[in-house]
Order: sequence, then structure tokens, then C-alpha cells
Amino acid sequence: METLEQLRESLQEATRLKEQAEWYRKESELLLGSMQTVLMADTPQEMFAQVFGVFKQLLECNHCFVLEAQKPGTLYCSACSDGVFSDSSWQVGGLFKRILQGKTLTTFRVAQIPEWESQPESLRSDVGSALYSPVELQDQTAILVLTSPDVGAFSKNDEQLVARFSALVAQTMANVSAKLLVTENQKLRAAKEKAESDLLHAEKMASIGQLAAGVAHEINNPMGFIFSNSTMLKTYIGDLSKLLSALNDWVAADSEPSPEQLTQCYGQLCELWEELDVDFLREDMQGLLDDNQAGLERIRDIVLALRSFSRQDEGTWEAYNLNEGLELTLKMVMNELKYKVEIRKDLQTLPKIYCQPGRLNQVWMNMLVNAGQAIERHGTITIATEPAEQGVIVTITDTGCGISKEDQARLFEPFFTTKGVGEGTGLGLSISYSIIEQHGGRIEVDSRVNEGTRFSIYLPVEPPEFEADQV
Amino acid sequence: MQILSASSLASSPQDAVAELTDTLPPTQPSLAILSGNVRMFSADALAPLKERCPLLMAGSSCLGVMTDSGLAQGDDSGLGLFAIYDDDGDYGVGSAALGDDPVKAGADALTAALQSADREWETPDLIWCILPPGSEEQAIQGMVELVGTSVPIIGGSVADNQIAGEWVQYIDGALHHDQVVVTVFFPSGNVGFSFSSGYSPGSVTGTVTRAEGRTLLEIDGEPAADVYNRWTGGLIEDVPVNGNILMLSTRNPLGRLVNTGGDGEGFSEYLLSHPASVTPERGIQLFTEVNEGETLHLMRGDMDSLINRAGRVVDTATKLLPPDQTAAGALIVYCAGCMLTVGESMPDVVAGIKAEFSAPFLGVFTFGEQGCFLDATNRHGNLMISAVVFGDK
Repeated sequence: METLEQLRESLQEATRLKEQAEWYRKESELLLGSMQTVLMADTPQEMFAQVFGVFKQLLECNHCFVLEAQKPGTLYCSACSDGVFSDSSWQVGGLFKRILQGKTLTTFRVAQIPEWESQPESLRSDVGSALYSPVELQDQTAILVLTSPDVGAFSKNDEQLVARFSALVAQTMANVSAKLLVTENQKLRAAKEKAESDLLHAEKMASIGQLAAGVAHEINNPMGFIFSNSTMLKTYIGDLSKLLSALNDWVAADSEPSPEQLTQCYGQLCELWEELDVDFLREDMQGLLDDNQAGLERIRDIVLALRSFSRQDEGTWEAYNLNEGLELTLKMVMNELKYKVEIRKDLQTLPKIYCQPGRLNQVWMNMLVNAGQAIERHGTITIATEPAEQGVIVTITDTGCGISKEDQARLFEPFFTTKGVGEGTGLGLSISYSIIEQHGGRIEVDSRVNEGTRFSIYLPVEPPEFEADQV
Repeated sequence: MQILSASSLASSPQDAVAELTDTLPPTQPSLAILSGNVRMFSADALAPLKERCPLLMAGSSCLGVMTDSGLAQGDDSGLGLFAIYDDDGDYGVGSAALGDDPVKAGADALTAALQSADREWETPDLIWCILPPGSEEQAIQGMVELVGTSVPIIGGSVADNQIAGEWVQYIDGALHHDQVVVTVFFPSGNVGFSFSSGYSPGSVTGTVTRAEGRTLLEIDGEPAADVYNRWTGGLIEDVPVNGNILMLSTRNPLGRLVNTGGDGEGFSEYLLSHPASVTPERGIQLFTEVNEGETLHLMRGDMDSLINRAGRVVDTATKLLPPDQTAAGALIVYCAGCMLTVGESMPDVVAGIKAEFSAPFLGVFTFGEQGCFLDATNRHGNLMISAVVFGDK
């Protein structure tokens, strides 16, 4: 049986071990607890704020800062918990050299240390002791510094804790750098997408501009006959007004007409009916109104299609039937083609694909306009669709002049064009290629000079990187 | 890190030093600590050792030393060596004469040791000291004022064989009696340390009503020797004036509560004072200072505890090393008063240490012990046992 003395010794031993275990536990909890928040930092400033916060929670320190290489023999403060040491410059002496070689250490008193003596009195006035730890960054070793207003404030345990934490800091800084790279990439990607989108829109507007004359003609034609018909209808209405005025004279009389008067009236109306050729009038008016109705509907369709086509596409992904897009686009470009091109369609039933319909319509328009321009006098354009393995295939074939092998090699290069100055932007096929690529598809061209060209476009039902939340 | 220990029972200092030197490998150690019977300290004899071990800390220990090889004790023999080989660590030894300002001497010795280690501004992992008996509290104060409270200060007061003031320190080729000698450790591995007094407080307490330095004159207004005699049931009834009571009082020292253990769940620690003699005014001469107003407790301990305690302290210090480090060696400070009381059972003390610790060690017997309490305060006390274990990564 243990004596009271032995029990006290056991208790003392247990207390020492418990204290150490408590320290380890506290340290582990803090490291783990702070890991997540530190790693979530998006900027070095945020990360340092988190790291400094953790240190201040665990150690009695009044300032925390990081020194990074500035030029040979000099370090500068790149981050500071409270800004006191921000941008301060430090000479590298023997002490810092040892730290930069990988040693975590503490100085029990900063007074008289050469590195500190080079600092203004205002900066070191409230610093008694300091703890330093090297932090491996991507391209250099930095020094993490913690200070206390008290002399000899940091212990071996503190030193080891900070050394362990420095590894976390290094890891975090690497993480932040990686994050910054990702952010930078995201920004670049966003900028690229914006530029592409702008380009796409510009090209689309240019294409639409190209079509504008045709569209205007298409609108002007019905407008012309509607205007003409309206003029005729105005004349007809004037004639009918005469008949109605004559009738009105009799209807508005104060007394009942005598039989003679009725005979006289009937004679006048018959004479006027004959004179005005009211039967023709009625028949022609109906025809004119029907024509006007058809003309207005045509204008409405053209305007709707133009509006739909020229709408700035925000890149919305949706399940879409490509045949609808081809029909719409064809309606848009039909005016350009109808005088010299026979359109043949072989549109098979297709599965819906996840795509950006507006952008694909732009591809079809480029293909069809190019095909039309390749046909000098008269020819055919065949539009065909068919389901394929996990996707669809669209082919647009023309019987135009064809493309030389040399030009085929450069066909999808930006600003490459075989058209005359002012006739094309040189971006149509380049952008089309980019759009098809974004959809995870591929575009192939088969062309023979003077025989014609066939573009085959494969599009998958779901692009490889398609994510449900994009729908 | 590699640590070697060696001991010799040769009767001549030259032979003893030669025996120790022969055990060393050809390379110079990073640090060597020599301790042993004051009779073994001869400047001429130690010169070859100093040549082999340029960084040497040496001081006398009561009647000899203990190592993992056993006890090396005798009236005129007993010398032990503890050598550290640590290429990745730094060590420094410094000293300063006590003079009339022990506080300054403590700070100066520490400064010299840091300069010797070429780590002038850096906080060491450990301060090991051998102090001349009499002003240990002030010397510690000087060190704490320099480096703060975060560094453990551990060591023992140099001792002779009969409390005749013959203790000795060997510094740079010369023997001294009044130097504060300090070694600073910046080892490549960690340091585990423990400092213990297993004595229990009894129910008897009194207040110091008159004291002068290390002389306790009155307790509760009565002559201290009379009060102590009454508390102990006549333990020093027959002791004449100036009579030595060290052996009699070893199992009943006086204690002061210095660490209450915080919130009540911790361990309360007592700083022990060993009554050494009865003064002409019926006061008690102690090996530590006491202050008026302090409460004294009559402590009690038993022989088994004195025998077993060293092994437990070393074991605790070893357990405080990080799990990935193994113990390379240990320095142990064992109160000379306890050693003298244990007497013929000292081989059991060594066996108890070896049962818990398989690496080399050197144990010294001192006239006062310095160590770090649970409240992280460095203090000087009596009847204590300290152990420092060096970890190897």
C-alpha cells in the first residue's frame, strides 16, 4: 500500500504528465480548429489574419508579422497583425541567417540584437522578446516573427508549437497561391469568355448586317403591296360611302316614302351599284384584305425571327431540338438564298441535346450563309440531321465553288477569309469551331474545288463537362 | 546525440581522471560535466581532461557520484563524467564570481555561457548550474532577470564531504569555491525534466516571526529550535548549541507552500528547508532563506520514499520527452542530506533509477537543489531530487 508521501509523488508525476497532455491537446485542437479557417482564406492578408489570430489565442504575443526577402541582405515586413511593422525593412544578420537556414528560435531580449537595433525606437519600444520561425514559401524562405512585451516570454513549447504551425502557414501560403492562380485563371477565363461572347455578338451582328439588305427587301415587299392595297381600299371605301350616302338620304327622310319615291330610289341605287361595280368592289376588297393580312403576318414572322436571332445569347444551357434551330435559322437566311439556291431538308427525328441554342444557331447561320456565298449562280444546299451515338450529326452540303486544300488548312483560323474586303469578318468559322468545341462536339469539312463543300458537325447529347446546375 | 558516462573509484585524482579519459572516444565531446568527491579535484590532475573536453563544467559532490555503473563514493574517491556528443546542438559554459552581488553574478555567468555557445541572444532550452551554497536564490534571480521565466533552471549546490566549506569548482584550469557556474543547453533533441519532493505536510504549522537570511530565529514568537523540538517530539532535545542536526532533521524538514495548484485540482507544492544546526539564540540554521510572515509546515518523509524517489523522478522526466524521441542520458541531482540519511541503502537508489532508466546517467549529491516547479517557477530548495533527461531524435 502506498504511503501518503508516495501518493503525493504519484500525484505530482501525474500532474506533470497531465499538464503536458493538456498542452498537446490544446495545441492539437487549435491546429485542427484553425486549419479549416486558415485554409479558407482567399488572400494572403486574410490568411495571415487567421494565422495571427490563432497565435494570439495561444501565445501571449502583442505583434505577429512576416518578413520576406526584398533584395540581397534585406527583408521587409509583408504582413503584420496590427500594421505596426508593415513595410519595415530589416537587415539580415547572423540571427536571421540561422533562421533562414531552417531554425526556429527565440530571443529572450531583443535589445542589442543587431537586427532589432536597425529598427526605429518607436517600433521596438514595446517588444521585450521575440520568437522566429522560418516559413517555406514557393520561391523563398520567409520569417514569421511573434513578439511579446515581456523579456523571455517564449518557452521551448512555444517554439515547437510555432515551428509546427509554420509548416501549416507554408502549406496555407502555397494553398493561397494556388487559390490566387485559380482565381487568376478564373478571371482570365471570364475575360476570355467575355471577349469571346463580345466577339460572337459582334460577328453575329455583322452577319445580321449582312442579311439586313435582304431582310429589308423581305419586309419592303409586303409593305409595298400592303401600302398599295391600302390605297385601293381607301378608294373602295370612298365608293361605298357614296352608295351609303344615297341610301342614307332616303333612310333619314322625315316621312314615309311614297311608292313613286321608292321606285325612284331603287332606280338611283341600281344605277349607282352598276356605276360603282359593287360586286367587284366586294370581291376585290376581300382579296386586298387577305393579301394585307398575309403581308403583315410575313412581316411579323421576319421581325420575330430577327429579334430571336439577334438576341444577345447569355450562354444558357438547355435541352433543345436542333431541328427547330435549323428551321429558324433557315427562315432568317432564306431571303439571302432563295433566288439562287434550292434548299433541301432531310431533318430526322433527333433527341434533345443540352446546348446553348442561340450559339448553335449562329453556327448554322454561318454555315448557310457561307454555303450560299459559295454558290455563284444556282445550286443546292442540303441540310440534314440524324441521330448518332450519344449525340446528333448535322451536315450542311452545298454545290458551290469548294475550298482549296490550302484554304481548308486555315479555315478555322480567326480573321481568315477568302471573301473580298468588307464582305466577311473572317471570324465566322473560327467562332463556329469554338462554339462546337465548347459543346464537346467536333466539326469536319470535306470539300472539293468546283464541286462543293460539306460541313459535318457532331454534337453530344451532353457535353463532357456538363453539370446539371447549368441547366 | 550520444551520451557517455563513466566513473572511477581510483584513489588518486590523476588515476581517476586517466580512467575517465580512457573511456572517451577520440573526438571531443560537445560538453562534458565532471562531478565527484572534493578530494578528486586537483587542477593539475584535471588539466588532461580539460584538454580532451574543452567545454567542461566541473564541481564537487558530497562523497562522490552515482552513475549507471553504480555508486562511485568514498571518503577520498569517487569521480564521474557525463559527456554529450551532439553535432547538431550548441552548448556553452560560463562563470562569474559570487562577490557581493550574487544576482549580478547569476546574470553574468549566464551571459558568459550564452556567449560561449555563440547564442548570445537566444533562449536556451535548459540552464544547468552548480552554485556555491549560500546565495542560490539570488543567483537564480539574476538568471531569471536576464532570460525571463520560461527557461528551466536546474542544478545543485556544490558540496564537500563534511559541510566544511571545502566545496570546489574547476574553471579554466583553476579551482574555485565561490563561482556561479552555468551551462546553457541548445540540444538537438528535447529535454524532459522533473523536480520532486515527496514529503508530506503534517498538521503542525507556524508563522515565521523572526528570521535573518537563512537563520530562522522565531516561530510564532518562540525560539525556532524550541518550537521545532516540540513539533518533532523532542528530536533535537539533546543537541548542543551549534550542533549539527542535518541527519536528525532529514525526515522532518520545514516546508512552505509555494504553489497551491491553481484551481484546487492541481498539485500543491512545498519548498523544503533543511534544518542544519541550532544557533546560540536557539534559532535554526537552514540551507534556504526564509522570510518573516511565511507559514512553515512540519513535513514528514520516510526512508522508502528517499530510496525510491529518484527512480520515479527520472521516469517522469523521461515520459515528458516527445513520443518520437528516446532518452539518450540523464543528469540527476540528489540531495546530499537524503543521501547521507539513506546511507548504506544508496545502491538501492541506483538500482531504482536503473530499473526505470536504461541510458547513461550521472547523479550528484548536493547541498541545495535548484529546479522548476509545476508553476513554472525556478526555485532553490532542500531535500529535493531533480532529473533532466536528454532526448535523441
